[in-house]
Amino acid sequence: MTSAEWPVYQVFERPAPERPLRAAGSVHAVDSDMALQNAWAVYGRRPTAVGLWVVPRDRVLMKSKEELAGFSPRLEAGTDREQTYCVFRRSGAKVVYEQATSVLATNAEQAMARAVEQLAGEDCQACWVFPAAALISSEGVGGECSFAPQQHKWFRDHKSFPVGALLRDARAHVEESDDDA
Amino acid sequence: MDQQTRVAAFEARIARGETIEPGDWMPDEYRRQLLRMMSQHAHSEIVGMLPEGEWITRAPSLKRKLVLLAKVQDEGGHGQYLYDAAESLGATREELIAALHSGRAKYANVFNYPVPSWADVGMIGWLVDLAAILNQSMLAKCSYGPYARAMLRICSEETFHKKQGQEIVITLARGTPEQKAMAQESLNRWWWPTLMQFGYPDSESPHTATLKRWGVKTKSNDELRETFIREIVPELRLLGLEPPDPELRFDEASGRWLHSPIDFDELKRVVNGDGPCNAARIGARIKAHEDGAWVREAMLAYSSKHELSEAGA
Repeated sequence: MTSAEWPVYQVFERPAPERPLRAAGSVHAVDSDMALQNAWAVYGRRPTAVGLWVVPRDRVLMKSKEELAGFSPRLEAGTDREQTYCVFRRSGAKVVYEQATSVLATNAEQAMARAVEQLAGEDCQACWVFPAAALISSEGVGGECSFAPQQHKWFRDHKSFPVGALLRDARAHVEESDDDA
Repeated sequence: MDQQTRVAAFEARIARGETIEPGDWMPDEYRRQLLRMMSQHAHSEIVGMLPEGEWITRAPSLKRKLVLLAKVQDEGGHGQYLYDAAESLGATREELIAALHSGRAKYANVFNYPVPSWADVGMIGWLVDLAAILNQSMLAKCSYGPYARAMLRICSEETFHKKQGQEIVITLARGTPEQKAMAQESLNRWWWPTLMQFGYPDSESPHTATLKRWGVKTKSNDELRETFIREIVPELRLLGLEPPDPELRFDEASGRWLHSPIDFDELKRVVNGDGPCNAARIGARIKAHEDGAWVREAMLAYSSKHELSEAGA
């Protein structure tokens, strides 16, 4: 039992209020509550994160550029009900996956096909889709966050470590003592 | 498509500046080199928590303690970012950690040296983290997406660490004669290991040309090492600190910094397990892993019980 790997959850962060989410990385956890807690410990340390989402990796369909080029989705009509899928993509020279849109689909392959169709004409280097129902979010309905964003950590503030000014001051002292000599 | 055509198509993508993702085709050697680099990098972050961690309880003020705690926590986070990137190539966390504990996987030489004085905390932050930033800001532009994403996050955090360390050294260098002597003594011990941290000289780095062609590296070990010397020596000297190398000087004619030869035999020994603190560092990692085993078991038991009760509900 001890050698069993904990499942992997993809982590997404909201860098500022009202901004789209972007992929942050992943965590291992035994369930989604623990995944959100671990995500906060790893990806919520910085002042930037004001909201986090986690989703089990096995629910995320990932397609790279080459895979998208050869992608032929199974589009036979299923009996499943349509549900909302979140779509993240990489575009242009950016390497970070960002929230692009959402689509309605009965399965992940169909969601991927619809996402690619919807983003047609836009630059799409790689794409991820997952059902909105699979995610657990730190954000409530009103957008409030279940953890306190770390906005006031002085030790995360460059101004707290004014090494440029300190070195200039050291230089001024050296020049002063040279003048005295 | 045959192998040659595939490699040509792959190299054309790299030449166009495209970023490779896990589902894309890549040469086996590209996968192998990246896995080696990311695993080594992840382990360096995790082992790197240990030397500075020794000073958390002994930091000279509450402010210093908070800064140091945050830095060590950041390094734990960096290790997680990098394990995530390494896992994208199919390695499991268990395999990665087992390779570190058995000595098969390597990590940065610098973390195998002792940290007997508070000045070492400043010197590690300034020297070792500056060296890391030079390497990592290059890798943030590398051709493999998961590695580049991890590096982007790490670089922005590492900049703090360098400033925090530099501020400690500046304070000591401009303090009492005893404090300044403490900073100089620490510099004497960290100078050479930091220069070694950039790796073997270009003449002994057989992979550099391939890694450059594949967009993993854009600068060689020697190029990065020279950038480091050019950046840091004038600032150290401004503070009245001098690296322990009588040959170190700027050569006007060539426009380059000259220094005594680096003892790469020492680098080889330390990386291969025979440094002053290797046994202690790996011993501490294994102990932490074993001491945490019951927590991992408890979490798994909790989750399976939870699933059962949900299934029964």
